[in-house]
Amino acid sequence: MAVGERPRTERPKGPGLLSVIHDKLFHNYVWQSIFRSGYPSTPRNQMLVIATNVFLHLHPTRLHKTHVRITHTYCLGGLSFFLFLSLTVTGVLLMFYYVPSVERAYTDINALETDVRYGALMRNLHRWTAHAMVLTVLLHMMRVFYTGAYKPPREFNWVVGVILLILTLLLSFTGYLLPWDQLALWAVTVGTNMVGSAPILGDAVVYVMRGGFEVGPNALIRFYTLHVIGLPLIAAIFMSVHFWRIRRDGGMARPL
Amino acid sequence: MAAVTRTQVRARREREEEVLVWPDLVFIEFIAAVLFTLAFVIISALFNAPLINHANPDVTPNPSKAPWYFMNLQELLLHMHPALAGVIVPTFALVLLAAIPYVDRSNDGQGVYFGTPNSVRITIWSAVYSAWFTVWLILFDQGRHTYIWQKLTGKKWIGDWNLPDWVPGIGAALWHLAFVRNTRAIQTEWTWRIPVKGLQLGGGDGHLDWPRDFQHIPMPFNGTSWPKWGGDSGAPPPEWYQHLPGWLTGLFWYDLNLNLPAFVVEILIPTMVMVGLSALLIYLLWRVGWLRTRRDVIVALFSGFLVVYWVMTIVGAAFRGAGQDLVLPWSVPHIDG
Repeated sequence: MAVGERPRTERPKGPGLLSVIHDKLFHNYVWQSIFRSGYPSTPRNQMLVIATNVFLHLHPTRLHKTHVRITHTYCLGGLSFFLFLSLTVTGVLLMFYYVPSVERAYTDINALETDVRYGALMRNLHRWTAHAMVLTVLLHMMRVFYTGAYKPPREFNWVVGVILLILTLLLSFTGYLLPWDQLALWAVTVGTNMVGSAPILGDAVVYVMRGGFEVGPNALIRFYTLHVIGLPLIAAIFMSVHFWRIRRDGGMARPL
Repeated sequence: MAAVTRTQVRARREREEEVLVWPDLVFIEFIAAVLFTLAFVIISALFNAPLINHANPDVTPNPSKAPWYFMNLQELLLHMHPALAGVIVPTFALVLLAAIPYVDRSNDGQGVYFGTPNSVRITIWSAVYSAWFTVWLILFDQGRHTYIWQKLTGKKWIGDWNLPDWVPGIGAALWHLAFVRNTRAIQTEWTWRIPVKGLQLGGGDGHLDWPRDFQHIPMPFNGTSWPKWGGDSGAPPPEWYQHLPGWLTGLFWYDLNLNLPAFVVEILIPTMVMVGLSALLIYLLWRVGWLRTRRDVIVALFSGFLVVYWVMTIVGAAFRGAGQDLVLPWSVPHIDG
């Protein structure tokens, strides 16, 4: 040891600037009142975050490893739900500009295309996402069928799924009329005519659907109301049941 | 005691096969959501949603088509009675779909694709079978098989042969072979008559005009305003009937004149074809010994249903031109007004 040199001892380094900032940001009273568990970097916190967060608690905290393979589900059920949420967002934005009257519907959609900033994008998103949702729901049904996931104890959840398929088709169909162009009017005329051919009650049902003898102003307001509030509410209820029962029935199906 | 140990061992092994949902599932979901959001924003930036002329009830576009997921029903509508195609068949299909888990109740083979040993080939075979028959039935019902026959052989189709009326009475009805041209020809081109000369049945004048009466066969509830309670004497309906609400008398009073040729063509034959081909599929698969469980039967029927659904959707969307005529995709008119 040279003369004048002080002896070095191992001392713990004090906290760096970043750790101090991190500590101030995430370990303060307010933050911890919002997020009760720490950052999910340890198995304990990873389970806590799933169990305590309202949005994540649809999931179990653990999952069999076959179920995270993409090819097992192709994410189809989750995608259908995600598309439903996207449709809600774009749909609400479209509602700002759209008035469901025969006088205004078409011009509103036209204005959306030309006058409203990102209006065309929102409408396109809503339209293509809606088509995609019908597709993912159908494909999800195929996936569930071919993996035998409807078998006991999941029988009733399959029935709920069939109801959700019908609701998806109805949601798409009611939305189809809203632009009030020739495509909309005649597609809905063709569609409701099919219902009208039902034996005995057909005429009455189709009259209720259209609010008249042909697709007109009453049909437009009926379809609009069903599209933006009635059917989404019913679908949300059935979706809750659907997701709840996946958990209650022991998660996704797997070999016994 | 031994049993308890075994469960514990099993539980531990399962724990090792499990992964934590955060991060192993949540990240996949997040990435999928981001990718799909991006994909849809790009698609929406590139392709505009269709918007054609203002709705006009006086101008019917030709063809008028339902949304794509109902085009299969619209296609079905061309081949059978509207009530059958538009309501009864879809209702049946949905009810049967919902009933699947209550028919196939076994626990075996769940959680893996194609859980039974034969289900892959059952699926493929059912798909090919259903696609084959659907396409040919559509071609047949449009009379297109005669066109294909003439193109291939250079000869006229058998249905156009004017065979001599060798046996009077049975006559043209059988020999004309109209039904091999298409199903509707049975109704429109057959002479509907009883093949016994001089036969007279019922009726006020002791004579029935059968070609006409085949299309107006009286049914029990038959008429236009109220049941003929007193027969032809025209007695008024009983007191209680007059107090029934209108919709109920309407229900009573559904016009059930039976049009026999239309019934055969629009209801009987389509139903027999739909039920018969499904039954034949199951029978064939059973004969080759592929069907071991109910699951196998359901796989065959479900796969067949899916293929019929998609084939009819594609035909309805891409192969139906003006007047719902069967055309090639590039001949389907583009509707923009």
